[in-house]
Amino acid sequence: MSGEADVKITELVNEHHESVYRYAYRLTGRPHEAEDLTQQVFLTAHERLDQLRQPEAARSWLFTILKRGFLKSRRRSRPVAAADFSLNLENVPAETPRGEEIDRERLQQALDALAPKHRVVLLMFYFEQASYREIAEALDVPIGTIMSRLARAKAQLRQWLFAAEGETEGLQETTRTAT
Amino acid sequence: MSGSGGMNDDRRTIEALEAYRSDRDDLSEPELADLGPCLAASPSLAETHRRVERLDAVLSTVIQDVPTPQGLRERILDRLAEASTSAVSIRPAHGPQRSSRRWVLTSVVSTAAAAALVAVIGYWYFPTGYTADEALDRAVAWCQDSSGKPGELLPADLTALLREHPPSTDVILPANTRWQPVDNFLGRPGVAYTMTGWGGARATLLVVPCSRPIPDLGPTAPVSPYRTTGGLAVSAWQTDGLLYILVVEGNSRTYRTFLLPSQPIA
Repeated sequence: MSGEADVKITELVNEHHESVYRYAYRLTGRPHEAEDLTQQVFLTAHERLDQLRQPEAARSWLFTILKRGFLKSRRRSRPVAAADFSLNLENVPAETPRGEEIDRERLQQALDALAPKHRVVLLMFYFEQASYREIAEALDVPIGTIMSRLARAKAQLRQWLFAAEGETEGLQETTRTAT
Repeated sequence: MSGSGGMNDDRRTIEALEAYRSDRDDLSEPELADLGPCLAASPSLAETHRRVERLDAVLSTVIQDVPTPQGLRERILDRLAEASTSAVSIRPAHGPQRSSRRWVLTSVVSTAAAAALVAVIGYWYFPTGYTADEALDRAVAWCQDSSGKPGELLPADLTALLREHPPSTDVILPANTRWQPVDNFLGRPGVAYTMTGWGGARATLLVVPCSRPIPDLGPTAPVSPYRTTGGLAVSAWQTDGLLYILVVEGNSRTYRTFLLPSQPIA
């Protein structure tokens, strides 16, 4: 590598490689794939550096490349059939658990069980702190659709995390087939 | 949400409540405009929202708590450097210097392979187009799924195997090479050759019929792998109606030990 572009991309890697990897891991659930995706993000970023006009927007820009790459990689997944997995506020625990009480493995299982389109919405909400409106604009999807996906994905995540043993059996199939 | 009840109102209320962030001016948005009066009129709903927000804050933190692998930054920079240099590197015609018993199969296999390749030109097609990245992803996933299954020793009569799925003439096949059929790789049956090279390094060569050109793939094994991630060095090339994907456990240097010697053209 050489030149100004290479200096810039090195700076981007230094500053953002960890957050991009973390996001990629939550999207894919697999370390190898997350690392491949992360590398691909920076390769793409290097090619398109001229598109990054505002340095302060770099993180968001890299995340956008990441999400597109992820969704593209999932485009050839098995076709999914619509299913209605339900809204539910009753599974919000009365006592908010501390972070260390959240089972990390179960958390990733819950994310993996979501359809990719729901997973992206949920992670934009939690990982990027994006509002439903920002998510809708970024994904170019109607606001009502995003609100619906977000509410259902959050309910499903809680169900995985806080339901009693056995209650999540069969849940994976249900959520994987949801659109 | 106006209080008239009904399943639709409940649904809209829940969706609005899940989306609402109290630290923003969300309630002024038209989609959430009805939620404010509902929260004001219902202490239990307001309490539910507070619980949802407290939980969301914890989940946000936990979701971002992912350990990053050691050396990630260096591998990304290596990959960027490789991508920059690969644009100007040219894969030469190789002058194989096959040596010794260790690679005894190579000459037999490569000669037969060259003949067999002709037979499959234009014969097989992928049902749909795939990108190089997708092919590499599938190959890595296949290797991970099948690790621990070394396959069978190569048969005494190689004719059938070489006719359908000849190994690449760019790759060294040690005498300990094993093989196994791959039922479905990107929609086609293929063969995986599993090899153990110097120092115990393991590699898998996937061979799949594929006449449709895959963008970005060259006709010979690249000198540098396309990917060096997660302890794997991976590359792919496409020639004479066959797609080859080489997955090596190790780095770029290990990867090159599985290629027949060649000198790059400056």
